[in-house]
Amino acid sequence: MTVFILFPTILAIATSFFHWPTFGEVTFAGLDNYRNLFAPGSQFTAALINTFVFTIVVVPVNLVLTLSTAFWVATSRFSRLYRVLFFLPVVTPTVATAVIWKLIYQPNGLIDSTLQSWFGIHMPNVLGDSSTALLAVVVVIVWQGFGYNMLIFSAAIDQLPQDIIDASMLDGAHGLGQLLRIKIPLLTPAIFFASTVTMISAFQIFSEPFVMTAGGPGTSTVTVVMNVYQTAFQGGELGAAAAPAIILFALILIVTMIQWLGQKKWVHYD
Amino acid sequence: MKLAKKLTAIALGGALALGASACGSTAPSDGGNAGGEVTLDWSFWSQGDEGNQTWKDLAGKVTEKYPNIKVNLTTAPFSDYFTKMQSQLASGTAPCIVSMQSLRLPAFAKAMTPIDGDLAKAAGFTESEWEAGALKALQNGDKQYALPYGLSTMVMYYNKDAFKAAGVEEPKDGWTTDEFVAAAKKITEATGKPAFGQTFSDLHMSAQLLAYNGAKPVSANGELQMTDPAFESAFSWYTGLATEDKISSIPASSSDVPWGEQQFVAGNVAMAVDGSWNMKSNVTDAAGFQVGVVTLPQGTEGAGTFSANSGFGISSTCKNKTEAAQAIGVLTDAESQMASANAGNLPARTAAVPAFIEGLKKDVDPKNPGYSDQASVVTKAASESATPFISTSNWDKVTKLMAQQFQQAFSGKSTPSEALKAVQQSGAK
Repeated sequence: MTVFILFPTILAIATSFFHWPTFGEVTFAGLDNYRNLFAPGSQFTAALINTFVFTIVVVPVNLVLTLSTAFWVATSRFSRLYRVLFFLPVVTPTVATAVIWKLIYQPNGLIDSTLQSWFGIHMPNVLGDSSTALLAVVVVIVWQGFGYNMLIFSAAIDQLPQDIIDASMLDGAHGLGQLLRIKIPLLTPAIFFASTVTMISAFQIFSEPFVMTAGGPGTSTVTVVMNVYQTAFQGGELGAAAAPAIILFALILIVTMIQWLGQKKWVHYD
Repeated sequence: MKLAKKLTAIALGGALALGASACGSTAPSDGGNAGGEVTLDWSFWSQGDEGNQTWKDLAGKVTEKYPNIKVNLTTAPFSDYFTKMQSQLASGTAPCIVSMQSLRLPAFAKAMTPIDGDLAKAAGFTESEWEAGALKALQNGDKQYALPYGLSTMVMYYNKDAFKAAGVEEPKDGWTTDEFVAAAKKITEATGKPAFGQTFSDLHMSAQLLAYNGAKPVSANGELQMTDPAFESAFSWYTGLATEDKISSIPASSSDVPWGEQQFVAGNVAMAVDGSWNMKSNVTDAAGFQVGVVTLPQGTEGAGTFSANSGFGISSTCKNKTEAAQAIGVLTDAESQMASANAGNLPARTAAVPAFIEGLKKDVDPKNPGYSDQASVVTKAASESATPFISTSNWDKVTKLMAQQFQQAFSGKSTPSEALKAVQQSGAK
């Protein structure tokens, strides 16, 4: 395992200190690649801000939605069917999903045509407008990743210890009080796991904005991973592409560590 | 060393999908196993089903002439082709025969072997048989890096039915930008839909700006000059077609780079700029309407149109350079040019142009009368007035920036000059 994980990581860190074109001379660059990220005209700052916005919006929205849906599904007669339905987008290839959503959003696409025929109004072109493009992409990301956490929470809800639930009923807990004081605390290990994993994947958002908006309009949907991809494979500068990748790696590491340390405060492992 | 190299490849692949060590670009001397059986990989961007078949057949012709050489053709969509090429070069898995477009040559010349001396001999290359402009576009630092299979100029396609329905006279070669705008206005009023399809595609848009006032996005020595006053004024006019005149349909998002051309074929707009390479397919793919073709509308300072060129060259990592040159010689010889011209590629050899027009006459005219005559006029006029398009060595990056920033200008979110400044600032080397 060391060979496959540690070695590449060290090599990638090393790469970021070189001018490393896809073909041609490799020369030592020192901190140049990192300095250039913040030079005028670099898209890295915009990418970093967008990535944070994506993460800050996607993670809570995803958790609230999936948790509430999981509770609702648990009480439904068709819980199995719902689980399958909600999980389908997760196993659909991301690129295919993004292309379909692009067709839904487009002028004269699904939403636009429906609005025209029912109410005679036009839907604004959300992907072509820098103030709405990011949100339009967030909707797709939440829709696509929704089933995964819902399944985890569904499983956790099914595993809730019935004796504790019964004891709380005898003590007069029911409804919302029971949910907030008994069930949710019992679910905290699952919530901790789901929030950490969702956070990491939100930091790495790439395919949806790449397919739907190519980072535009302006720099409104550029993400860090897109910045890495474009620098490496469209710009042909591997060293300059390694630098933002390393920064992202460090960020994810730090945020995950903070979450890990924070779990003592709110996660209850019985 | 071998193990280290393997590990490096795996490692970088894991970390950043990178490739092998940097010393991969030192090529072994050519003629790896002269006279023995050689299989050469040849990569090309997809030409559509019919086009791909034509090139597969021509690859077979190579084996007919040189029984020891087999050519293995792989294709990728044009939009991904050069990205894929980057990663192949990085990992040392580049094919022997690479298809190259003139706009991308400055970025890739370092990874290619010039076709001169013995290699030119092996390819049977005689300069006098070619359109001079076609050769020049595939040179870098006065060296020929690829032999062209075609010559591409930018022209205007229009929907004859839409013109007729709006009662607008069909455009003729030598029409002006004012006439173009007037026609688009009338058609827009008559149909209630924008008549012209705007685009982010580099050649398509730049050619129209060149025709407007002679502006060029890149200077003669390969420097990006988006903020050049002439270019700014031409781009403001182009943007104004959407924001002020409301006669053009703009791309729905920055990922819809070839917007105008696609909307035209789908029948959603009545006019769009596209390359001569689609002269046949734009008619055969058109969604149930008659297609006309005409030169680009010229402004008072207009300078004709841009030409670009594509051809086949040899990667520097190729182990059988002589055989590759022999294969390229066959792929671009007079007979092959005839075959590809007949299939709808405007040829780079002077002698094959009539075959191109004949092909259109045979395949297109029966359903779309008069097209081959128009094509013959346009082809001649366009190649007489065509300037080879010069690009920067980071052109792929620039095209991506244009799609991001011009979306803002076309939708009125930023001024044309702000959008140009942003591209210049991020894209200038």
